[in-house]
Amino acid sequence: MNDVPRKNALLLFLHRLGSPPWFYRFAGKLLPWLWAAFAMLASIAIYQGLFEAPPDYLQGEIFRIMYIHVPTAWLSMMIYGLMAAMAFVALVWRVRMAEVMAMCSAPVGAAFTLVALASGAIWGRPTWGTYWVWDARLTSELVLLFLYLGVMGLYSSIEEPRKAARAASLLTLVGVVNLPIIHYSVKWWNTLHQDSSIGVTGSSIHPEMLWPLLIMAAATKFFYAANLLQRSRVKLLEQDIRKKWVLQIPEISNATAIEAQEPGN
Amino acid sequence: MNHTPFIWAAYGIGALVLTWCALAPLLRKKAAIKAILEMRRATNERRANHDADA
Repeated sequence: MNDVPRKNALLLFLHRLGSPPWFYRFAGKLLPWLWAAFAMLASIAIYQGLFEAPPDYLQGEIFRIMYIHVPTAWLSMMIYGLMAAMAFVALVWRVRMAEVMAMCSAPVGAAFTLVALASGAIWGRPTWGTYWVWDARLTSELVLLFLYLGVMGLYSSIEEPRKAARAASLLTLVGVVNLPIIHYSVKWWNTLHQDSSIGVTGSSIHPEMLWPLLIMAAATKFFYAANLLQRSRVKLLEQDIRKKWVLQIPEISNATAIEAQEPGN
Repeated sequence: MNHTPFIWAAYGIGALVLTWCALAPLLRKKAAIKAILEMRRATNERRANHDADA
């Protein structure tokens, strides 16, 4: 009996989410909470990971790079998956907010991929004896970075934003094939990169080392959410620069009111 | 081998890239708001000139 109103409430929420003015206000309210959650979780994870977790029996202290490398590598793939889902919605149903959010995900994904690659290279030097090898996992992750850069480049090369988003969405969907390649590369090929230590059924990492990793993984998700909303709000402002709702946002209306009160106006 | 520089370098690069990633939209927002306000000022001036001419 209660399912119908609940379903309607969800549909109403999704419908509202598609409205730029409503999205702008809603995201603005959510942003401080997301940043606060990120700051709190990241502080706990970094403190525990760097100072409280015991050194690894084999790698010693260098294993602490795991707390930045693994969560950023996970998120680099997750963001691409979400970006592809939003690109699919944008292409099939022509939802503008999906286009905006998919395109705003690309620079965040590229940043996380870059951090994963850089921290992995730094970790590789003392453990493998080299910063880089053309190993399947490393190469496919590098391809992911190029895919992000390709999507960003294609989007900015077409002037009309909706046409640009459609073209870049198509490229995003083509690039999805790289995700299973990254994930299974360590199983399909003989790689220098180790196999996953954490799976659906369990983990081979000691709980004292595992908890900071899981907390950091949660923190990076909050970073992505906050950064995505922030970027989407700015993109909406830039695209709707001549629309009436933009003139009514507090940042603009307050500045206009101050200007009106200045002597000489 | 002393691992400390490697650990700090990894965290340093991470902090640098993510800080830039977080600050970039703030800078773009500032620029967008400035552009909107300038556009609005120009429209008001045009309107005032038009009213004065009339």
